[in-house]
Amino acid sequence: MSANIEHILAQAKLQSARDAELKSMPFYQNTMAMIGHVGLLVHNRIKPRIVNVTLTDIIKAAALEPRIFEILPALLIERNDFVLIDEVPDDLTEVLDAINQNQPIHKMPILRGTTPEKYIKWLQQKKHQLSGE
Amino acid sequence: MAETGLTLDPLGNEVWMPDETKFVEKFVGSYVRVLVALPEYILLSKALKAPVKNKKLIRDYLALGPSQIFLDLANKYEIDLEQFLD
Repeated sequence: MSANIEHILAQAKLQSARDAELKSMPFYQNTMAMIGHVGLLVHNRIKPRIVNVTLTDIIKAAALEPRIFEILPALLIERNDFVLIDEVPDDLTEVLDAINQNQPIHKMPILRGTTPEKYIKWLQQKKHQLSGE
Repeated sequence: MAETGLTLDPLGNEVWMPDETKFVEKFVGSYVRVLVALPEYILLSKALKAPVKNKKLIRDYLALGPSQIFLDLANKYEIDLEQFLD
């Protein structure tokens, strides 16, 4: 095995352990539990439960679990009972504005690597609109 | 499938798998033969075709100790493994 590969594997081990530790923290555990409760994503080890989570913590959790970005617009628009909106980043505001203005999908912004096709499919409201076209 | 409430993934034909992929036979029926690709080939496909989306998955796999088959194929398909690190 080359020295470079050995270095990459060692770094991967360190970063993976760091993320595992972050995932044990309340911001991640509560986010996954709440998202599970509202029925958007189910975690295989974190049980769904009712808990309020700030948007800042949700975005922090999404950095560890990118699928959260796929459901984030639907969570904020349609299933926001347990979301405490503290601060909305500019890129997320742009996405929410595009959805509210009913922009065509090809004009909607990418949300931190998540394409509009990926996040729009979670919106029930949008699904109805699309099926009615 | 429709009778049992199932649908065939409409994008299934777009999935890319390396030519070297080895499969395990899981079921043989009158109309259907089910084959499951071994994990390292699936991970290689994800690493090559959707590296950003699968960054953490591949990094966790590297952390666990990837198989030599995966490393050899990553080399063959010129996958930069460093891209899966933060």
